Amino acid sequence: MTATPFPTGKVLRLPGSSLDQLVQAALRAAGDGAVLYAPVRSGETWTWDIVEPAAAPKAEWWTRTVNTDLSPKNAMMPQTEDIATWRNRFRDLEIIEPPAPPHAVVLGLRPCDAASFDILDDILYDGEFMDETYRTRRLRTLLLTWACARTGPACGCDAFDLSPAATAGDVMIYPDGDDLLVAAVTDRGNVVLDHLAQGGDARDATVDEAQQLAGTLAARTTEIGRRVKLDVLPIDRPGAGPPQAFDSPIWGDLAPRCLSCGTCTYVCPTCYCFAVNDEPRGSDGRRVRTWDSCQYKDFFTMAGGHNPRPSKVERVRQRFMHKLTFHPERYNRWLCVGCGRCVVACPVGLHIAEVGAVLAEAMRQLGPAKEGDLDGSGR
Amino acid sequence: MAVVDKQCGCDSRTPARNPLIPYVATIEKVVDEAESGSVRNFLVTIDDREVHDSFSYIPGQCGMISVIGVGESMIAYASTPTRPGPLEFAVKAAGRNTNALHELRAGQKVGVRGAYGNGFPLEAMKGKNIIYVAGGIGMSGLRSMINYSLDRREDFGRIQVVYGARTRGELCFKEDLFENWPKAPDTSVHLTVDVGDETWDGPVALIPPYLESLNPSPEGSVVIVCGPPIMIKYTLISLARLGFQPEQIILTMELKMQCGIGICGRCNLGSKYVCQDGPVFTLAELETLPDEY
Repeated sequence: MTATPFPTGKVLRLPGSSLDQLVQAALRAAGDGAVLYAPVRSGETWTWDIVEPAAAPKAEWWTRTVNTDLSPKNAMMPQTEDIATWRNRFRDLEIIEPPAPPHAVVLGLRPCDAASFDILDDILYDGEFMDETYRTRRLRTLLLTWACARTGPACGCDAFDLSPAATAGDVMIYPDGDDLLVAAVTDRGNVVLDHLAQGGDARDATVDEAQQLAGTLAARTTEIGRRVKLDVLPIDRPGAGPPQAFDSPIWGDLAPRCLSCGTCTYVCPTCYCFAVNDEPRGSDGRRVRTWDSCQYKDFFTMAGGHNPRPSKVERVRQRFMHKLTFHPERYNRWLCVGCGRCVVACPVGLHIAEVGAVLAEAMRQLGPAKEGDLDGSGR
Repeated sequence: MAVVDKQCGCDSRTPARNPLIPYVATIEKVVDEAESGSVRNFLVTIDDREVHDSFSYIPGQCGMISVIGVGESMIAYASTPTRPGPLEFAVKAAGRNTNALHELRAGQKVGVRGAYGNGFPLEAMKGKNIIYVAGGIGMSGLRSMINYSLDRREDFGRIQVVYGARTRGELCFKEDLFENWPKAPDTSVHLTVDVGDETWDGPVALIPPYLESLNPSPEGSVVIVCGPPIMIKYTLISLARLGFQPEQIILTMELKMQCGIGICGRCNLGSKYVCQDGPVFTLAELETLPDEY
């Protein structure tokens, strides 16, 4: 896996105080009736929601704040959404598709969060079956990615092949003092910059300028990244991952303090597991998809009561190995961007980077891959 | 490489129907397949005739059948594509949706989507003798394949069906077991029960020792096993004793599923999803995956 290249599209310099001009340009580029997702405060918690452009944070917010407490995945995969509704009349059943989601702009998501959508694409967009609601949102949503001016103590993007200025989304925003360097990543991003260049306060800037700034921002490391380097993707060692890691004593050590609260999965930008439930109302109703969590016992309980992951040991192992072993084996990427939210939110300090370090060390000790590893004879 | 062209936001694929939305289907007939009444076979036709007639699946694949307002269950098709007509779902009442399904009668509506999963390796099985080993409701996972192999009789060698249930009343697909299959050419049906009674004059034995007493030859054979976990565990020991290699042993797996298309995150064995990469695995394949079933 190689780090994404710096953008080579159009670049403009915009005073931070004119951020609203970028928002308006993006909303115009996104399409008719486009809505704006931006960080919003709910109590002490920063999350993401649809807001009026005037209610979006000012540029200083991004200088002050490392990241939101909840991830912006609700912009692409709402916590609850209709799969379909139905109408039952006598012996006639009608199943109705929900209306298409609106065009949208996500303002100022961090590079780690923007990269998480590339990861979700592997599963929900590029798989054998497409998740149609995710697909429609993805196609209709413009991502304005805001490179990090600083990193927090739980940040670990560089442990996962990313950086504080990793290129992701449609437009990159690089903070440069009181100015913003705005760089187009995709053709859609170029359209945003075309709109931004028409009147207003934007001034021409060069690709060199942006790349130099991006390079400086991207070169910074995090404390976790310096300590942990997940450089051995299990994909390079098929068959070696599960037997070695699966039976590791680490799961038995971690599980007793896990509360099975599921917080880690809800705050995670790459956790996508969901439940399907019917909500009848008289003879009508809706079938909804909601976020779900592998940390809940009933997530795996089958009709009749059998549960293949009956205790916390199996469920903690499932979460970490899904992210660091099973998913990379299948899709050749980590199912983690090192955003650090689960590290901060976990009430008992289960730390994915620490687990990753243990797994990576186990892989290294296996030495170079051998043909025979494919038969899983370690088990 | 992403299919979505992230450059332009355009998409090379044709917008499709959301795979999670079921088709409305009508129950044509409900058949009690076991004397005890515990297994009901629902013969359903998708209301959109065009969709029904172009519906394609192979034995071993599964479909989602839904009592709208209650839930969905992933069930292996009991019908075979060699016999066009209604799709068949043979269901034991085990949970919320399957209990609700058992309340439904002919003429009522259900939701149907699929087909999902890999199905049996039909090409690799060609020319082989097939030994089907089923326990209890596990027969519902094999019936499609058994009828398929009888309909394409020339494609396969000798066919043996070895089937056990707790009692005579729990033996599923009684018409096939006692009428249809024994009459098929070069096909034998071997039934056993755990507990006998005055209506049963066949063997009273658990499946593993019964299978061993039949002494099937591994030579040029594949064996397909479907049943409860405990039955599978001891049957595998017996098969090893009979000289079957892991590559010759085919199993169908079952884990909790909600989407059927590999995206809801429940049914994985390591990096494989039972709903999409399975449910059919050889024992050799399963031995490379974490043992979580």
